[in-house]
Amino acid sequence: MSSFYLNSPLDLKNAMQSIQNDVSVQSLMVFVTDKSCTNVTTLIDDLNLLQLPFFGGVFPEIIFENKRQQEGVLIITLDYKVDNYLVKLDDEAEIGNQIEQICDTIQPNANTTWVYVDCFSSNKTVFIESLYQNLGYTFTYVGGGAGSLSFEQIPSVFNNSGIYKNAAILAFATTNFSLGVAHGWSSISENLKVTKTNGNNIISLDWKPAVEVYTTIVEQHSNTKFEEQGFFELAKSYPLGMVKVGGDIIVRDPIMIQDNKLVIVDKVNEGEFVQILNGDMNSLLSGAKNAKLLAHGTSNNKNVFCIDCISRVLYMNDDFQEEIDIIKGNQTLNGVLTIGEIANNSQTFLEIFNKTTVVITW
Amino acid sequence: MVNTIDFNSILLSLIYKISSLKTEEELIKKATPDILKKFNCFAGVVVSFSNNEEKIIIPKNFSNNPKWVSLKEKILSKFQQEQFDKYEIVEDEDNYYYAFRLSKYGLLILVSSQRFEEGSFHEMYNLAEYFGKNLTNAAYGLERSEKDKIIVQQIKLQDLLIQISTKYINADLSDLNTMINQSLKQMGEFVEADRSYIFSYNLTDNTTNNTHEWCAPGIEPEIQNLQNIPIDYIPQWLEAHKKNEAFYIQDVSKLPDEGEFGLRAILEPQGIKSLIAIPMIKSDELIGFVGFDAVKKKHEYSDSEKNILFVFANMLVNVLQRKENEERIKEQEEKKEILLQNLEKQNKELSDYAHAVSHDLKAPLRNINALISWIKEDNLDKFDDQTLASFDMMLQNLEKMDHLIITILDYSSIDKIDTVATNFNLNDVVNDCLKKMEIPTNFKIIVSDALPNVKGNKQRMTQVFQNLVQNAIDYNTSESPLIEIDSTENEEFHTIKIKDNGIGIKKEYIDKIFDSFMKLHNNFNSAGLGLPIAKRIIESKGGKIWVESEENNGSTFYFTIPKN
Repeated sequence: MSSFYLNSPLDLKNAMQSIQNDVSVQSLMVFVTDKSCTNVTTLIDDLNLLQLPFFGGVFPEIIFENKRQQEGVLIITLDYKVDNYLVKLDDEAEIGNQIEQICDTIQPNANTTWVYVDCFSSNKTVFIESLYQNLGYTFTYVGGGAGSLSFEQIPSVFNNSGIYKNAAILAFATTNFSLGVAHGWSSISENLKVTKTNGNNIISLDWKPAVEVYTTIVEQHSNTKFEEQGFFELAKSYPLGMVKVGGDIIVRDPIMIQDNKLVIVDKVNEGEFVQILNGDMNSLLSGAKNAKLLAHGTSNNKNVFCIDCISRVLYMNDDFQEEIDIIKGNQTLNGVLTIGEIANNSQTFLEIFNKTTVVITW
Repeated sequence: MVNTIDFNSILLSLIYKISSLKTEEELIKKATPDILKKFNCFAGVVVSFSNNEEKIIIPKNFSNNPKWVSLKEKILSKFQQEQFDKYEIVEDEDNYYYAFRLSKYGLLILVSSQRFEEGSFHEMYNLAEYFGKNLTNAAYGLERSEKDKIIVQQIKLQDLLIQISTKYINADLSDLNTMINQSLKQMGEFVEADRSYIFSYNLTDNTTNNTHEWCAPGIEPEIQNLQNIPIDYIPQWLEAHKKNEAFYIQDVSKLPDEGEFGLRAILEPQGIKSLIAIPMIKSDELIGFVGFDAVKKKHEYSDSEKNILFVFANMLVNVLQRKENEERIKEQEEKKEILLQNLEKQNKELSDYAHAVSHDLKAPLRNINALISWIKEDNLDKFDDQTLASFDMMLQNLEKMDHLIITILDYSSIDKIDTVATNFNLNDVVNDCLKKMEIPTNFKIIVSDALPNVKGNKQRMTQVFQNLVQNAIDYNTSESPLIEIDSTENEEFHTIKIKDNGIGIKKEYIDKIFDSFMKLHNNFNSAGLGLPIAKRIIESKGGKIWVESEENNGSTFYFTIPKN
């Protein structure tokens, strides 16, 4: 694996020359930052000249050689063949059929899939469930939510054929990944029943206005008023969590208040019970350390890649470098900062995470 | 592992999910993945007893798992041979296979690499039983059992509460009474009551009042008869409510006969067969209760129903509290508005008065001045030197008074006379102003040549500079007096700075110098209105004026001019 950071046409030209000269390269993963996504179509046209399969998405930020970058493009070369497929998510009823058809065509020994999905697609959960149902427990899944931090839905996933909105890209390979997933958040509240929702909006918790319940608990715990600090500034330290038996809490990220409703990045179902979580730099970094240990384990994998949640970055700001330093260890870290993370080594049902660190080695 | 509360919450969320699904297909396809997620399993199977058919296998390729293929037969045959009743756990070297009976429908098999805690199996079996009954009913169209009906009833009641609470959250509270009456109707109809009502307690004079009421068709309203009822008539109610408990009579006819003033004697004439009254408590204070009377037939309330009615009572308390708060805020805002209006009126009257008085004083004063001048001129040869000196003093004082009146007139007119705003450059203003002033020759005045362009009343702005520069001249005893005029800006304002190396201002006077008629020094020509006029002009345009100064160390006056 080698990586290229592009911030000018010259960078692209140089990267393409290097890639062309490297016969081991069989596929490319391409991550475009939100701030540099105006010319993705041209980038796709240029990359097609390499005659290599590539896939990727538009993300809030990227990590190139141990540094986060808010602008530019990251290209990761893969020395294995990757077959990638587009899944359109407009019609809920058709998602399963599309995945079924893809399953019929993938190479029989494929055991890994990169998954990049438009994070603002309303059918994201159906897609993830359908993906696991059809692809199964023998696969390792890695990926995340693509899109812009403006929270407006944009064309955000692409492959050789173009860039797409409300869609997902699946890229299959026959490589063994080692995964580490952890977050470092823990509960500060009792269970709160989600009594009314509308899509990704929570209207009421415990039969009371969700915003009132959430802000009261957070203000009490933080000793800070939302009106003083602004919603996101305070809420980024207080995500919601859903408990499960024998597994880590699934984190859900509240991003704003809209019409007196709590807007969450990923759906929380009516009838669920949620807790309000909190963490600090120590607990989050300890989560990152844990993810790194799980991913490295006893393996001597030489490549390390990271899929980390952009809201961890927004929480840590400049201190996020500490998280990068922990994850990279003695290696060089590249990665992408996503809106929702996907990681599963088939020990559990596939789910989308928020505010979570995923470390992948191969 | 999760604690008991979390475990129960997980079960409840799954029960909610199962109860929200109607068809067999929906139940299998939508509830099974959720069960897998919640129990952290990587595979799950629902098998129907009717033909040992696998209704769903998640994920699909688990059906080819060789271990599952061999275990499936083993598990199914165990059930068929009735070797176990509720659940069975089978394990191989990698995974645990948890098989739960889905009532009469079939089996749910969950596959996980982890072993669940022993204590959780019974609860999970109960969940599977509930799932199974729903599947059976959906598949065979059977009547729901009585227990299921209760659960469904509770869920419907929860939904109704959500509906009401959403209305309470979003509604405009101006017509709160109608909203409360509507919710009493909805809740009353739901629990099959014939009358639902709210009473407020007045524990000071020991009475209770019926504030809201809903009656089913054909039931007579009682609200008019139930005002100022002595609490002594219903001691049992109060006793229960003080303990935050419901007052519940399942069957009025079974109450003991306690004579004319007994509870039965009060309820039976109203035709009440059973009733429940839930306390309404606001911050530990008992404020009333919400009640439901069954007139046509008795109604039995389960504990869960009672709990939900408590939630309704809490919602009523919250919405009443919200209304109270809103009214208090509205009242305060109205008071503030009246106060502001009065203040504005008083200011205007005061300003008009000052204007009228100054204006009326001016003419007689000028007449006196003219008369004294004439008398003096006509008698120059008759008056002695002392008399002439007295006449000069009179004329000087008249001039001073005239200056004072002109200044007061000007001060009181700032808000009244304002020409249309124009764009002008402050360097032009400062230059004009300096040309018109008598500046002692030893004064050095440095003016930045980059003062901004602003919009406003040029004449007034000239006055501001005049007053500030004049002050800087008047109160400067330095051997090398210096005045510097400069400006800075931010997004919203230009800030003008006038700095001198004069005598400065004592700390205790800094807050007072912008007050009317405040003179720190006995300057015969000063009316004590220069700085108040400057302040009024600046503030009338949305700016601010302030000073930084130290005695014997000069002063720096700042004022801001909004850019818009």
